[in-house]
Amino acid sequence: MLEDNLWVRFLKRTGVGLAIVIAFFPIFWLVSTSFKPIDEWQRFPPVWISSEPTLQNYRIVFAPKAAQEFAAKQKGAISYKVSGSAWKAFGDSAVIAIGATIFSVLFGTLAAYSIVRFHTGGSSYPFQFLVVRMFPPIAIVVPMVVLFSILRLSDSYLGLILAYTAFTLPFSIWMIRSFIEEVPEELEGAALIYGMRPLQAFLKVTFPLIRGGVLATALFVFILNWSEFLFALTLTSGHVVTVTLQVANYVSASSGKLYGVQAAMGTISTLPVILFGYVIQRHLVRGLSFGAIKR
Amino acid sequence: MAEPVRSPPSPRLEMRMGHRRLIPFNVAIALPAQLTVLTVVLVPTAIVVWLSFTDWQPTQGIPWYQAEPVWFWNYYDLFHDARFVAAVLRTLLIVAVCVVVEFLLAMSLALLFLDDWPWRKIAISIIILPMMVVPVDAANAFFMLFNDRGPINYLISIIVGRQFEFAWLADPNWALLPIMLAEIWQWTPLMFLLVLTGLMNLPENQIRAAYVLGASRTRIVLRIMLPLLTPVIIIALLVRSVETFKIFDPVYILTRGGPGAATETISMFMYNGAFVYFRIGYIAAAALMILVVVAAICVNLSRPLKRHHR
Amino acid sequence: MTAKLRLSGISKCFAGRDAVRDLSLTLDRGEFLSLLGPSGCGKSTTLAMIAGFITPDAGDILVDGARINDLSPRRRRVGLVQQDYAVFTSLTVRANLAFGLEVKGLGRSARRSAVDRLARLFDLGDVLDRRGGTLNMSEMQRVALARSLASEPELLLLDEPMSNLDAESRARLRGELRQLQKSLAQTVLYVTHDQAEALSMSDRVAVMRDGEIVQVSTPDDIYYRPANRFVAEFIGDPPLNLIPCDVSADAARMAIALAGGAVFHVSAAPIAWGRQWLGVRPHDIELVGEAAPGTVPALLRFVENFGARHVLHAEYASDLIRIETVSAARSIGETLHLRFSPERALLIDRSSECVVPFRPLEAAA
Repeated sequence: MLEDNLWVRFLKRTGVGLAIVIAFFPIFWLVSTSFKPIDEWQRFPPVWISSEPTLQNYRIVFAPKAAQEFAAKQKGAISYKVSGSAWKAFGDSAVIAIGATIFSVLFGTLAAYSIVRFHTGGSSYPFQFLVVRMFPPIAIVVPMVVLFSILRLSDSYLGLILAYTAFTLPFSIWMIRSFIEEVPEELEGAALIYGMRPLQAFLKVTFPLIRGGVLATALFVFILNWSEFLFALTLTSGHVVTVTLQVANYVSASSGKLYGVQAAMGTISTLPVILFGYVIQRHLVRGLSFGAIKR
Repeated sequence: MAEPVRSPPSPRLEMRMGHRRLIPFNVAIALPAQLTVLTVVLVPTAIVVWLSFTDWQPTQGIPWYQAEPVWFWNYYDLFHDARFVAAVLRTLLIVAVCVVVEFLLAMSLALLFLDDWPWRKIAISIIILPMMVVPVDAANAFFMLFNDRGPINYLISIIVGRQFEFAWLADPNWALLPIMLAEIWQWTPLMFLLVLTGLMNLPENQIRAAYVLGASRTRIVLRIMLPLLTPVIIIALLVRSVETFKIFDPVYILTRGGPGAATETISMFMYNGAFVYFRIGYIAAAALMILVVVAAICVNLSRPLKRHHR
Repeated sequence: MTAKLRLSGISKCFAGRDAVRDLSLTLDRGEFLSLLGPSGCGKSTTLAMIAGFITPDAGDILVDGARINDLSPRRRRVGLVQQDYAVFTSLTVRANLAFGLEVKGLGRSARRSAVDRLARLFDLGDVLDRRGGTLNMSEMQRVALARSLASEPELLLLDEPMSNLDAESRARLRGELRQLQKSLAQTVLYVTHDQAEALSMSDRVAVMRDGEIVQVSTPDDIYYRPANRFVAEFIGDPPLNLIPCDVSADAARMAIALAGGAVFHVSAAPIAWGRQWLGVRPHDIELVGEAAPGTVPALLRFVENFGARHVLHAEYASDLIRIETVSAARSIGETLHLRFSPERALLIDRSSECVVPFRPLEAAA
């Protein structure tokens, strides 16, 4: 709409350029480090891009046997015996994240439908779920450990799934609620006149219209579950390992944190989040503001 | 947390239901969500209340329900616990600094994206990249960046002109900085998206009218856009403040709260207290205090929010 | 004297479609000119180009002789009232009115007195301290108008400012706005699709269609001497009747014959023989009590009752024509006897759709 004088244009370009560099740099460093051999990890001046890139870090993460063979042959290559398998970590994370997502979206959709169409619980009911989100999880974790030990849920898949479901329900409910509110009630009303039962009306008429929104919510909740750290740290004791925990396993007594290996693990474990994040880019704003702000 | 109020069945239901059900339909379908939250949140809260009045430590060898009550001594101790008070103040400081910086950066950046220009969409995609990195991995990346022989120190060396090898994460005065920078780096893109969405939803006609009246870009931003943006700003600040208050991942990965307790936040304090020192009862009291304060703030905030939502 | 506004050869194309085509127009100082046309004819686009929000593909926009194409909207001394008024909803009415003055750097007391003067002029005294978002439509319109006049613009652009108001307000405001414009000697370009507004308020009317100006004239000229069929039908309420007629030679003159027997003898005019149209305004049709030489019969089908006047819809020459007349008792199905007067009729060429002027001679039986 407005013309930009030279000065403004220059400032704009520098500002945006700076933002892009700063946004990208730590990620670049992570990925770059994942290909560095051990002697380049803490070299000064720092190595921006490895001169002798190696896949050894990735081998240690994903193919420990091959890593050991490689280390035996190649002088100077890092050799490390990892305590748990990264494949198991990815598997555990997948099981928990997917399971918790399914529960969260399922329960959340039903609850959101109940709230929007029937005003269940009055006007303050949805806000009670918001309050859940405001509690620092650490405050709940301690008694949860106790509770889980009573219920025999300690260090179990179901335990974490339950915990994740409960803490992502506020997002599910509020997000799906905002999607349902966009569909006029009259559509279901028409279906009811045709003899459908209320839930049928919802599933056949409204749900297809909000399918995209529900999918976006599901991906959003999946991202939250996959990235979660605190519950995984405190509610498990070794049997269940998520990708966020696995990274911490790459620490050796002699060398401290194994930067390259952690970087490799981090790069791969972040990929699903980046992928899904871009898929639901349009809905990110709605999700992160609990449905308050929409495009 | 109250049980869901059983609202009377809507007229539609009355018509449809030939027989009386045990539980109204609308309550029944909200039950799974409600029960999950009840179990995972309410029951532990009840346990916290009990534990906060005891000094239970798992190392004592007795089960938790047989712990000996010390009544309000935990709370008394907490008030006089310099480490706890420091953790609270430190957390508030982190929230204030991070949220304000995130907002200012996000706002300035969002203003640059109002008009369309080539590569705009791609620029936005890159700028929101930090939001989509697993926080633990981002924290690890920052750990590497702030290594005493890492790229940050190298860049500072170039600027300053001499060798700069500062152990950020080991310095009690400065260790908080990498933590805050990691948090700001990761979440400014979120603020940016929220603010940008708000800006793009502003009524274009009012802005056009202001231009015709001769207003400069600055005047339009300050006098027209910002006031219209106030609801979005409030939501963004609120959401980020609440989330930042709970900060844990970067603190754990970068410093564990150290050196000593120099970077201990509330979450870290409670983690250390419970899982390192095993003073569960004491930490339960701290947890309950935080819960009560947070709940009180929420109740007071939900009223204006409800008004806005209606 | 240089015209206040001159558009010269303005064109704009959107997505392959010509929104405005080679448009030229001048506006004199203190003149009230309406840009009249149906939706989509390009009038709002033209306005946006004058304001500076759209850049013309070709042509020049000159204000007081100076070319303003390259000026941003900020620097053009133009006032704009948009269709939805765009009142600043988060500012008070006072702040809205003072906005343009703030921009100019006026001091606080100068602003205050200017705002008070405007408030009196536009009857906004009660709402001065209310926030823009709390006003009703009529109040918003006055605020938008007052706000744009506060900066004393060279040219005031109004984009259908009455379309959001109810009929009663519209009727009242037409007169008030025109009086205000005259007293301020403000140059106004008024965009509308309502021909009654255009005719009643303007010094001149420019009729637009499909991106082009079809005719620019005084309201009288537009009404009585439209240039073509489009203008003739667009102007006037109820709309013009198009009656098929037959034009033939008759010695040194022409004869226009209508179904039912009426024939007019007129001077020769540049029009082909054969079937053409005669445009007759509903108001110009005379109702005679019974059949007489020169009258034609029509079957009454429908009566629109507007109180003191009726609009009769009657079947004539296998088409429905409208007749505006004083109210009287009539029955559906009765035969009306109509007399057309050639003095007010328009001869319209079927192929070119232009109005062909002619001079009526005496009427024959």
